Amino acid sequence: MNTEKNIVKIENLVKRYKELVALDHFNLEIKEGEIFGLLGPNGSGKTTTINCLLSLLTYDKGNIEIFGKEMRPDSYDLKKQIGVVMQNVAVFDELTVYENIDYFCGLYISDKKLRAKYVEEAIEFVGLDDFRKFYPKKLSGGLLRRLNIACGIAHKPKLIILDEPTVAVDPQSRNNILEGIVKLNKEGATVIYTSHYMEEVEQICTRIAIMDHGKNIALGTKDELKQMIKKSESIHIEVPMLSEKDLENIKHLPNAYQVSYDGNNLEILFSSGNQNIIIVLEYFKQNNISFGQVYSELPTLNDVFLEITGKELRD
Amino acid sequence: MQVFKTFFKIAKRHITSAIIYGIIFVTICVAMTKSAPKENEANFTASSIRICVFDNDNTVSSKALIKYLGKYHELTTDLKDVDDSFLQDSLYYTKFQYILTINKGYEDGILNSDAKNVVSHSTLINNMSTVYASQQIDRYISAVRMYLAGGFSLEEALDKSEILYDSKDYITAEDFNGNTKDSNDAFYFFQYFPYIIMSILIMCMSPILISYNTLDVKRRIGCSALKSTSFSMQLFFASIIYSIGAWLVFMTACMIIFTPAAFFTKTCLLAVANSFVFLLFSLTVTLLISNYNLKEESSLSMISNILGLGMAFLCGIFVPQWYLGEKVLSIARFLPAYWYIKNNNMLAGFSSEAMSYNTYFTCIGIQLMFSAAILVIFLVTSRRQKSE
Amino acid sequence: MIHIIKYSQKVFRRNKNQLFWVLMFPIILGVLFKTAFSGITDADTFSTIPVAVISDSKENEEVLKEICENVKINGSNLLKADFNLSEKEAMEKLEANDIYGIIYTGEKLSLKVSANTGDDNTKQSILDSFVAQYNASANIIKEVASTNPDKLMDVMAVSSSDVTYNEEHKFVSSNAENYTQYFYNLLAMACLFTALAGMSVAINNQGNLSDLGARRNITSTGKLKLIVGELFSVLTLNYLLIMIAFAFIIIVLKVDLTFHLPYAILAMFVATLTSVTYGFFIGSVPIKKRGVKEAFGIASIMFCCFLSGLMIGSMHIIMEEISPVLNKINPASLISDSLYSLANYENLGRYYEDITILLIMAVIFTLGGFLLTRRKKYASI
Repeated sequence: MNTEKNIVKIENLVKRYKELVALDHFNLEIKEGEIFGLLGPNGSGKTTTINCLLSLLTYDKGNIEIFGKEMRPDSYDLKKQIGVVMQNVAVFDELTVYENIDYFCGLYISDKKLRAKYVEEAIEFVGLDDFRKFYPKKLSGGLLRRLNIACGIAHKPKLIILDEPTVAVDPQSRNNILEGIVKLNKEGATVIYTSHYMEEVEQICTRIAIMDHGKNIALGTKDELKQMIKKSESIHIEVPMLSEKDLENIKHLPNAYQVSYDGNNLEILFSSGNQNIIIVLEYFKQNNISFGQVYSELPTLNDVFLEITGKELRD
Repeated sequence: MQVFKTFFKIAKRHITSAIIYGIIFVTICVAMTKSAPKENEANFTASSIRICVFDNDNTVSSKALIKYLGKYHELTTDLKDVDDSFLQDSLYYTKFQYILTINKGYEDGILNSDAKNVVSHSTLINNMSTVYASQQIDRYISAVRMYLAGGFSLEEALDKSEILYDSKDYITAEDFNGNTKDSNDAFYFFQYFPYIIMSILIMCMSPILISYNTLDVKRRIGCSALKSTSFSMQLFFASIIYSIGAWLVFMTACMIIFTPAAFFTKTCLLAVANSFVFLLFSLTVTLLISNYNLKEESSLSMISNILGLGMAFLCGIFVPQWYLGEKVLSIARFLPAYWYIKNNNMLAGFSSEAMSYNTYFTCIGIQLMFSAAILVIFLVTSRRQKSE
Repeated sequence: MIHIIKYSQKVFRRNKNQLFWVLMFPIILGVLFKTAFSGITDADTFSTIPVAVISDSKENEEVLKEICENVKINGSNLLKADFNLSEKEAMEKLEANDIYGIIYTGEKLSLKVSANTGDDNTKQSILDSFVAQYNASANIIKEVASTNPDKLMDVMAVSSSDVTYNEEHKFVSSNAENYTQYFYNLLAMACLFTALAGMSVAINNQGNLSDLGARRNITSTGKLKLIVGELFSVLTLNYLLIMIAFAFIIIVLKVDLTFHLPYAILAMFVATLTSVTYGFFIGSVPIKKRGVKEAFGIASIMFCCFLSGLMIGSMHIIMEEISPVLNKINPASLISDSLYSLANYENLGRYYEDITILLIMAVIFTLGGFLLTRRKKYASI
């Protein structure tokens, strides 16, 4: 992995807003070809990181390199290779869907023929073909987001930065967007994706950094991240009238490290393995305990976040 | 009371803009008052005008003419080496209303029979005051020549002619209502008040009202348990409080500038009441404008100027009502500022109108009716827009 | 660059609300001004003064009648005298302002006017002057009759001679009508309001003020290019609107602004240019609240227009006395003055001076604006 070159390198980035420390010695390296997820609750510093990266914000300390070069407000050669989809929809109300995409694409690419081709591809890519003559005001929230994305990626950049592109988007558009990002990545773009929806990040990202209070608190692939925590499986069983003895026995099943029971629902956490359900059910069968619904959960990034910070990812 | 409270929360967010407008408009208002073209203020004196005199003759006679004119007018005699463009500008911007040139050979002219065109004058247009000045000069020269023809010496003729017109015993001024003019400059302040208060309310209060009007907010309020009339009324009362605040700022400024002694006179307080009634009208207009969703502050400023300046010129705020043509005045009667100014002119004694409480309260009543009419339109249209 | 201009033209063109007011502002106010001033020239120019005459004898009445018919100003009678009123009727008319004075014949003429004349007592003054002259002539004749009776005929001859002592001298190139200056100032204000469009260019290109600004800051097109392109669009579009309004004022309202027409058109262009760049400059000043910038812009425009005489016509000349320098750096004064000098002088020196100062201001505003915005990172967004 280290043989691949760094697309983005952030070292010791510090950003303060008066009293508030938004980024606290933040470090990050992103390799070519990744879909890099930046996960964290609202206010954890994701957007600030992106804005510093894009040289929109001043920062107090640190270094930022993109494609191995220092990023400055006038680094137009670098900016040319970056596509950005901002958190807030930034399109002209006075321009149609087609015109908006063409406008933003035109800020990167002056060749008219090439641009026309790219714009068509972008429209097709986000599925706005039926709406090309529409003004943004007439678009629903989901479609507007898609337009926002099209404006950011139409010029086929090598590095695509998406800042919460799926906020307030219907599930259908969301899937469409996520699939699109994977497709862009397959076509060769490196993607930085910020979100506070762990499912999305888990679904598409090859590597993930978890942020909290401006710090990078965990970094790795989703499996690496999940291995960092104790829990590897949790099993929920609906079982009325479990005796104290049985409960004690269950606690001593292999790998089980935490058992909780409220008189009806049993939850067992296992520290390793992912086939623990068989052992549990075996035990129930042997002791003739009848039970209702059973399901097993593998750990999520939320569990990772919960274990590291002691709080839920979602507020 | 939620709508009412929110109003002032929003107002607080616009406070910097309001202060900027406030400072500018108070400054403009004071500057206007101070630079108002004040006519003579005594009971009855012949109009005095600003005359620029060039004496090219420089003789006893020409000096006597200047002395004579100086008794009646404001003279500027020390200008030298000025070009035509300066004089032209001076006339244009009414720095001088009359430029008199005493031609070389003036004395010779009046002594001999050929006195044709011994002096010449320039004015921008021939109006009453300039015709009057020409007449004065004519009758003086004519008198001097008559004395000369009657065998008097030049000195005698000049002396006699100079005092000839001093006596005023042939003229009496009949006072029909016993009002002595209150030469209080505060009335100039009140004269410009409608333009100022209308501009400031539209510029400062509309943005607050408009923020209630954005579609989402409007729909949300529409969905709430609040009755639409209750909503409009709360908005109305909040804006009344806001307007009164603005009004008090201006009244305080007025009181400080013209001293409390001048402010707390009976006529001046009547003018204050008059201004309050006009405030109500400005307020309802602002409410009505805010009903239309104007996003940009730039549009707002242009609308405020169209209303403010248009009204000011039509109703005699910047140009006195008696200069305006009959047709204009008959249009102006459909604007409350006309009635406001009519009252103010009457109170200040600017116009020839005699002070009468009848007229005063009629004008007040008409202004209130305009306000009420616009308030009704506001209530009706705001409800209709909701049901759209 | 063409791409930017093309699209910014589209954006601004479709922002109908703003365009509508840029165009309608001078047109509506122009119509209102024209209406308001339509009567003024008549009211202010000389007109015959109605009076009542109460005579003590037939003889005196005849003398006065003859004089009333003969005294003329600019071809029209000075007085319109009614000899058939009773004293009571005359007093009623005087109180109602139907007549401006009552003349009583007798040994001397005497005059009664209303004391409640307000600020405007020019007509009374003229009556005063008329009666004074009549009495003075009578006086002189009486005096001469007692001292030098043989010269009496000479005196009478002078008294009745029809010599003009006082010749009217018109300035050669003066086309000035007092109230056109309000239209110059109106056009100045209309131009200055385009500053608000210039301001939005600055705001829409600043990352910390708008989402679009942030979005555009990160493209590979330089800020300078974006701004120049958009300013160009704003300028051309607004200039077009101003010219339509200008044409309306000339053609429909028949306000005479056509002296040196090409120069006037150029003046309007320079005025719009300076205004747009002024707005751009204010928009670039690092204040975060859009509303505050707009308020400052609008308030400063209002103040400039006030100082240049939009509200009180003589303000310009008052400023000339207080501080001529202010008149030379007040864009509203410069714009209205450039139009004024075109209408009034053959020599275009003053016009060129105004235009040059406006251009210098435009350059300063543009450079200042660029210095404030270029290569900028923001402390917060």
